[in-house]
Amino acid sequence: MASSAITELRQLLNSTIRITVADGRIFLGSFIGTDQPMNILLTDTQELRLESPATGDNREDNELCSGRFVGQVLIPWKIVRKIEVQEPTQSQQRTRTQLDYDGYIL
Amino acid sequence: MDIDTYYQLSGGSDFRDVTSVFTLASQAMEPGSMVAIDGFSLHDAMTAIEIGDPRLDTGMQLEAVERPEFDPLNPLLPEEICWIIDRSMAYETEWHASNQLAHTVFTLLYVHCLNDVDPDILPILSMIDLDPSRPLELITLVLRAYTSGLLKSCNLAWNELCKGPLLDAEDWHSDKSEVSLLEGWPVEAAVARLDSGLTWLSTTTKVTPLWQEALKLRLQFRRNILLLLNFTESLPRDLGVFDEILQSTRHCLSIIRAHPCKSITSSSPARAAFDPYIARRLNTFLPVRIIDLPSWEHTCDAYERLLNGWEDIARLSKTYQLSTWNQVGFQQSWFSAPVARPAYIRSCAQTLFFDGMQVVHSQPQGWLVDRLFEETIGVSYTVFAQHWGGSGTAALVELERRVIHTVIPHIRGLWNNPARRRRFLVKSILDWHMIYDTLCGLVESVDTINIDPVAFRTLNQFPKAIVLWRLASIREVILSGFQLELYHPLERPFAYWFVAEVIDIHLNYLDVVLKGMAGVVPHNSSSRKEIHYQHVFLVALQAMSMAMFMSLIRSFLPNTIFNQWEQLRTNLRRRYKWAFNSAYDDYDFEPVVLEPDFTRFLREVQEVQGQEIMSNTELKDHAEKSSRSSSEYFELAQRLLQGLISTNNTGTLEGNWSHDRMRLLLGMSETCQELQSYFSGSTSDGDTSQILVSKLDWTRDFSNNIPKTPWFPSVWLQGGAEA
Repeated sequence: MASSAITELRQLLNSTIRITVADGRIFLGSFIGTDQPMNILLTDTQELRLESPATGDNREDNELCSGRFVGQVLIPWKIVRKIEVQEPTQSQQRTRTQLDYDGYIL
Repeated sequence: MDIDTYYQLSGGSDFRDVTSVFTLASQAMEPGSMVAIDGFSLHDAMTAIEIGDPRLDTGMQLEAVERPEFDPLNPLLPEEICWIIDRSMAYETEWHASNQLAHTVFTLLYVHCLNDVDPDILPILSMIDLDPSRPLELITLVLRAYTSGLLKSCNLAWNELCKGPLLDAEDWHSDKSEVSLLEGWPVEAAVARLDSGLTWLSTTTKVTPLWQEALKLRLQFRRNILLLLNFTESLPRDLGVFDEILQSTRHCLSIIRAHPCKSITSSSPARAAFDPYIARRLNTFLPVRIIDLPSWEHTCDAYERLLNGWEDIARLSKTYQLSTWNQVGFQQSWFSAPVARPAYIRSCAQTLFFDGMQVVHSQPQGWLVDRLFEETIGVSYTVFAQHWGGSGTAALVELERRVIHTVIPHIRGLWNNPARRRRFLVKSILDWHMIYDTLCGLVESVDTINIDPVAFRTLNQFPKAIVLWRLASIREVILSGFQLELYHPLERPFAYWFVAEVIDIHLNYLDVVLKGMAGVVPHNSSSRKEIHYQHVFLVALQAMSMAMFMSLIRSFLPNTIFNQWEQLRTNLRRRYKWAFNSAYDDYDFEPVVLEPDFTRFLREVQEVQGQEIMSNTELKDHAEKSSRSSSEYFELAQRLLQGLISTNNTGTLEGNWSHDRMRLLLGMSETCQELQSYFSGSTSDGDTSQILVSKLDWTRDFSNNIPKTPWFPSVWLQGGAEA
């Protein structure tokens, strides 16, 4: 049980993960490591701020809303609210096979 | 925000919640263990920015800041537009005062949404004015034009600062946080947009005449600033036009200064136009810093300084005298506070002097060699060069290269920030000696048998010209220590004594050069005029320095210097380490001034202290036999300074620079009187030494009072009011 949880975590390494933190910001980056207290390290990270108009920031049409590059960040567990991983894109199932031309006589 | 927008902005909808994976793994992991990619090191973890740490996380919201909603198309009253413009002007001056763009100009939110207020792409419905007192053109034409002009102005200043030798993060801040300063947009287009705004304001009936005028003035002011920034590069080509624009800008500023925009209500939607926390959302790692906006008077003063700087630049662009560049460079750092010299203006002066190819726009670098000797000793360099086959020959290439490589950084360095300027001067002391050494070697190699004695005497003047420049640098290095507040109270008497010693040698060399000019240089030549001025000025400065040395020594308890000499000597060797530079050993000829003579200093200290304990009769006898008293030194200095003032003698400087020089003379004369009466009053009152010193103020606090002289203290009366 214990090792399977760690194995599952290890499988997430190098994947793109999305972490929502307590103040509403979202960090989108590549997961490169963590320690036992779950200080999560992301690299090539984008910071996104998606407040609703109710919070006083109405910037849906604003270019600032697209976020900013913050590089390598360490996100402590105490401020993490949600962690999501990007599903690998499903490769299209191949149904066609090459025809066997051996039977043809040219 | 709808769910689609949310997913679109945050990476898409193909994400799976794995929070529980992390929770379970944390429980399963051993303390101290890690799960990380191959090749991961602790160093990688150390370089990461910790989110949630207010020192590192610039995007962190420290407290719930209630911000009004910002809508760029929210209609505003003319006075609100005026308020926004005035506030953005204050932020612009703060950027010029070495603050970050992200903390100043970029806090104006219209900077980030110019396209959203473009009347050409707005839907027609948005253009219908619902409130006739708030016409939308005020935003789409007036404020948009102003903001575009502001950004373009910052772009032009930014380009100049990048080009010049001033240092990013030391003299100014270049970080644009990936925000456009309209780099690819021509200046003419920005001017045309401002013109459109001005035309609309002139013809509209939607704005009252009072506010029409106020807004037109501000747009005109921005247009002028933009043109001045643009024309600076091409000076002195368009000097006439430049002067006209400068005068027009001064006129605009005087009216704007006299009619500031009154503050708006706290509920005004215009307040939403500024977000001091904008750095949190920009592409920058800078921590958020809220800049306290200067008062309107301070903002106008800052623009005034910028305009004064442009006036100096315009005059320098047609100044082809090396000594004038040198004197102006020194003077601008003596009087104004560092903040009064915007980095942009200093950078302009530096690139104007040398743009990497030519000197003062059009002169070849070799021109510097000619000017240096012509202006210092009144004799052309060709007179010297002809003995070695003329300028540029193999024997002289090294000399000319050294002169060029010393003069250019020397002059440009005068516009550096005060600390860097001093470091450049320290470096130039050795560089000047290298030239002196080369010149001495060349003169020594001349065959004295086959040369006319008069010609040989003239040749011998050339190394002395270099000595004068080197001694002036040494003097400035010592005196700038007072401006930078470097000296410990015990070091001050030594600094005054040492500078008096250096001036003594300088005066001897000036005498020699003046004698050398006899029969060679005309009496009314500018070289002679400047040397005569320098001579009188330096005698006065030397007398003031000696008076300060004597007065300060007397202000200490007896034997203070001797009791603390071991520590003081160590400090002095460190402070004057340039004088103990072993690099001088590599040159054949001995430098004219180098190491200070500590023994001589101590002897003079003893002599001054000895005078103190002598009886009046003894003192009189002693004074007759040897040196003057401090009071007499102050009197002598004041007499000489008054002589220069009464004859309006400011050497070869003219115009505003002549006024600056006169201001220096007047300040020094007043200081002489003040210090003389203070020291003589204190002595007769039986004032104790410690109180005496504590009333002298060497600090350079320009915010309270502009110091009368750059190097001598002010006297403070009881209660803190300055005498």
